[in-house]
Amino acid sequence: MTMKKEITSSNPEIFLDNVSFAYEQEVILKEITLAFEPGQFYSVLGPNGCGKTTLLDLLIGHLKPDSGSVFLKGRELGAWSRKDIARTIALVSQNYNINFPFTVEEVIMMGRHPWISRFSQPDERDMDKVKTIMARTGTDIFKDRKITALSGGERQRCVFARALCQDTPILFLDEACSNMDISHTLRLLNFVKEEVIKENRTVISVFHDINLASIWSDQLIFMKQGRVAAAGTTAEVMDAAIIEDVFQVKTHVAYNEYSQARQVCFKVD
Amino acid sequence: MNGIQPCLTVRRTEIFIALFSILLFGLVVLSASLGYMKIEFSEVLKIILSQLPGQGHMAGSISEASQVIVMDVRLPRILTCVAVGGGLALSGVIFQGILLNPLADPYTLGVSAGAAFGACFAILLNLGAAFVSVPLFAFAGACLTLFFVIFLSYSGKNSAAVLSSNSLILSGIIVAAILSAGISFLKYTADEQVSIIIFWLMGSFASKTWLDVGVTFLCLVLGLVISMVFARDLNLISLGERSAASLGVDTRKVTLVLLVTGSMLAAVSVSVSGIIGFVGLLVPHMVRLFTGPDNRRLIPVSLLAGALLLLGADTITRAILPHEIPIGILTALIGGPVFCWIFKRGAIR
Repeated sequence: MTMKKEITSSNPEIFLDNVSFAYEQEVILKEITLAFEPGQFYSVLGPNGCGKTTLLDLLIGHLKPDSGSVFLKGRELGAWSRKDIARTIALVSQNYNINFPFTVEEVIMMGRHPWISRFSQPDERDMDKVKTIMARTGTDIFKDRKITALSGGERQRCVFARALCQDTPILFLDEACSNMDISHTLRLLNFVKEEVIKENRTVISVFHDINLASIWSDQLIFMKQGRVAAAGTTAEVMDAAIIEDVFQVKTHVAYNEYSQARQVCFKVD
Repeated sequence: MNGIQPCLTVRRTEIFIALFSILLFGLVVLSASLGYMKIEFSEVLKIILSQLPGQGHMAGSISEASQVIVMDVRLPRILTCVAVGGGLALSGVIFQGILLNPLADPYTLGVSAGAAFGACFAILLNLGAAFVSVPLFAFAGACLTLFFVIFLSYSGKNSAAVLSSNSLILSGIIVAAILSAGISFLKYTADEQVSIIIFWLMGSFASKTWLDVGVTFLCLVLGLVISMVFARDLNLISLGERSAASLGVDTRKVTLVLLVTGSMLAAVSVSVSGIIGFVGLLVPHMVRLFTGPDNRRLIPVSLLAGALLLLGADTITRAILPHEIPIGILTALIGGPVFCWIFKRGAIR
């Protein structure tokens, strides 16, 4: 963590100051201090139940910390209205179940909700944005179909596209590609990465696939039992000893020429 | 291409609204002409039009009896029925949206059980002598139930999980189960009043007054305005609390406002006319097949369709069947099989 502090600029997008959180008696997050800088792709990695989704919920204001504070663009998160948060952070959540037969286009248009005032209709700009995003995410081919009739992966792409339409400087991906095929996973992550580089956006993602995380991320955060086990640039912390400690599995980590990133292999004993 | 799809559906919605409004007016007049004493369609029309300022002369040639029957007997009943039908359908739309469940209805949260308990209580203590107190007790019962259900589900740390659909449905089921045991107990102790209780529970529009019309219409208009203001938020909430919250909807506030609105509509309906099932469940479903799930279109069309349907059913039981049967039984007998048919066709899923 000391390492992290040194590279922290005076002005992070999101800053967690000594945050703890518990459900009932069970402590989920313990004294977490982290800073997220603009123009960086972060990945949070760790075993099931280590508090990754809870961390995202705290960062977007769905949960309030028991102690410590969360700052978004220098202002305490509690002082933000839901609408202003939605104009700053978009979330692709794990849950993409939809019970009502909206068309794909209607669902994606909902991403413009925080930008459209209560009694107006979507204007030209909203329409253009939705059209562009649908084309780039490959959701335009089924835009008139009912969302309830799509497969899980297709629905996940629509929910992803909806979050992109929110057009926010910060994007959270909570296992956002868990049901997509590899080609769409790469396509969407590529798109997101481009936005990070070109538009100086911030991405904070939760991944299960360590190798995917390593390819796309500038920074990795390993979590274990509610604490940050290691955090830093991918080159620094994508390390066999750290992964073995966090996941309790035998691993080998090496730079892979083909994917141009450090990649991990596992061994069963 | 982008703009064409919504435009088509918007135009279709406008056509539905216009068509249903005309049909509803026609059915009101037709229904007022039917009954034990037949009155000509044109005469009813004249009687209604003569109520407009400056048109008093139009009813000049029509007998006093016909005018009294239409204005003081039939129209109050018909208009109450229209408002209750619209209110139940609107309430159904709201509940299906909040509870993220196309199978929810206005009674899912136990509002009907609460109203029934209140009514049974009033009937048992013979408070019905004061005439208004049975509906008043029913309304109080419904409100207390609603607040208790909200109280039960208003917990949890996750702000998106407070008042979540799951906790609301569970609280509703628990409270309704307790209340129905309470109703059974009241019936058990009721002796000869038990038939009054049973008849009240089955629902009826007999002997409604202009006061009932005023109260139900006032609630309906209020409910319509509030639900239209929050229609877009309701769209988002119907996709899940967590995504709605991340899209900038204050889920707790909107859910609470809509919950109270939907429950008040149901409570007023039950208090005025007893428990009428299937309208709130079925109408939003059938309308959704035509308008799609967008609440901005679903709400006005469902309201009109609910009014049409319930007035149709009430006219059948009042004027066409040889003996009047309770409206609640008729809607269940017609609505149940229709629901089975829609469900089997897979149109709900």
